[in-house]
Amino acid sequence: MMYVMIKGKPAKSTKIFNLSVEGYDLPDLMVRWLGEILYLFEGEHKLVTGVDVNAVSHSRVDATLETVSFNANLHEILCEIKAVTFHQIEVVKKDNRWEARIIFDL
Amino acid sequence: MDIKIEKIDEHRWLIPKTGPMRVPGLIFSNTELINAVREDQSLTQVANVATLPGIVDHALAMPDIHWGYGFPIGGVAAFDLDEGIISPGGVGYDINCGCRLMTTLLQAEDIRPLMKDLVIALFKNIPSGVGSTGAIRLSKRDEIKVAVQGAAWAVKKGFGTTEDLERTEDHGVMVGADPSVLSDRVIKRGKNQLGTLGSGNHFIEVQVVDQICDSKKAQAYGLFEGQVTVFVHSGSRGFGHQVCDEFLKEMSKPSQKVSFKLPDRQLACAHLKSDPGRRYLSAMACAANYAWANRQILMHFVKETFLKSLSVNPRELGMKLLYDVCHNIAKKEQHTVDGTNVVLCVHRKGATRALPPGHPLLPEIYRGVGQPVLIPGDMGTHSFVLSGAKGAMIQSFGSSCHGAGRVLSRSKAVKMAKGRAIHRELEDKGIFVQSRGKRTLKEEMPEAYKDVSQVVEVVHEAGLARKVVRLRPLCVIKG
Repeated sequence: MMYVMIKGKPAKSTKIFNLSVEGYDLPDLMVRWLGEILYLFEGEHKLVTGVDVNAVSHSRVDATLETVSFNANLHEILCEIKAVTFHQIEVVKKDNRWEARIIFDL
Repeated sequence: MDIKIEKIDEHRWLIPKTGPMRVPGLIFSNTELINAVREDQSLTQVANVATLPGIVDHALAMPDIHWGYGFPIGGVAAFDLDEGIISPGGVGYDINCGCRLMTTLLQAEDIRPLMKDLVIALFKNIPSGVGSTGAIRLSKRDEIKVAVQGAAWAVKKGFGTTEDLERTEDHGVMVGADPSVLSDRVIKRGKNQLGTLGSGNHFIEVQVVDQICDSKKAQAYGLFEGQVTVFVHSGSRGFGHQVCDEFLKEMSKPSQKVSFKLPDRQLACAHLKSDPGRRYLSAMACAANYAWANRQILMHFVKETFLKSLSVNPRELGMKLLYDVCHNIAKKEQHTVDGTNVVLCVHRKGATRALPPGHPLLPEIYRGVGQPVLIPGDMGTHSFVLSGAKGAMIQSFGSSCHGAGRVLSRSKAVKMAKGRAIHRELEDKGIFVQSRGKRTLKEEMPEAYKDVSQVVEVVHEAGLARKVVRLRPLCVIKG
């Protein structure tokens, strides 16, 4: 999602913190998780540069995030994501791997 | 759902009531526009809205309809207060996204040599772009006042006059705003964004009145041929976005699930009389008020820029607010249904209120002619001013279209614009553009939108609102 919004990889991480998100099924969990990432940018002006998932189930994700502060001189906004939508959402396991299809409202 | 539509006449199409639909769908369109509508999901979305409890009469769609979150953009739906629901997706993420039109005493020909300087000055003075912040930093106390007082807060701070409030829908304030329902995140996002334009399809456009369609109404609105006018299109910024996001999440929770099956989980909603329903209405009112304050301040910045850039005094400039309309809102309004007066909750998502002459909610100055209905087009062609007509009260709960409506997604528009210099193409037409985002111009290029003249023609012929003047762009700033 970050690569949809922002050009280039930021140079340094400046903050590490834990994020936990709950949802009532996998699609809902995915939407809420990405919604939190989006809020970090929109509300806190932070870009997520790394994610370590510590625990995940069908209803909860616990992760450690690395973030940098958004800097208009360093980071080019490619496009604005208005919302993470449920439209045609899919979070499925295929051949032992998890795949997700998400449509963003731009 | 496999959606069948039936042509009623040249400007109206019916989605017959089938399956879980509680009412039929009614689409205002023409033969050409309806073919484009079939290509995305918007007809399915109209049919889905028609399944919601308490919906009255029809699920409606304006001729600029296109695919949205749950509800289509260009959708109107009215709900009974006892049995009906409120849906954040039926209002939109940008609560009270809307526009205002200012008139001036200037002739376009007189300022044409200064147009390039003017657009650069507007771009410099008005904060725009994704996540843009402005010069106004609100304390929490002031932000709460903005959320309750709306445009009046801005007027009290010296941004404009009380006359502006008369010329704003609902006097620039929605009652029922309760800031105690707002989260810390909402407050945080709204803190530094007042007086900023935003991005995407938000813009400030300087125009010339290039065609008079109804000279009597044009005169009543203070419009004349060759006149310079200014459109401001913006909304509630991060404040409103956060309100929508939070209530969508709350209304999606299993514990909040309503007693009927939703055909699309993006129609997450709550009964109007429920606790989440009431709290959403209160929060939505706060966001609506934030947006009105925002546009009031943006208008002030535009006026200041004109005075300095064109070296005119306020009397020479004569900038006045014609009207301000919202096009993403839900309001309790009185309407006549089957001969009975009822109060309904009308959702307008990408639709504009269009009150006819004589309506008691109109300011005195417009009661004889009807409410100005402001329809911005794309940045390369025209915009329109219409006046509300009786047909809107009979057919569409007093509603009209809101703009041209997208035909291309943003990514498709960017692909189509590859290798093209959109700003130069517009300059060749005499339109100067400044934009913040590199992709914005491509995403917003004229071909990305429906032909606004056709959209307006449908509304005019269907009797929802009548054409008054046509406006042509001279310069535009976008985020």
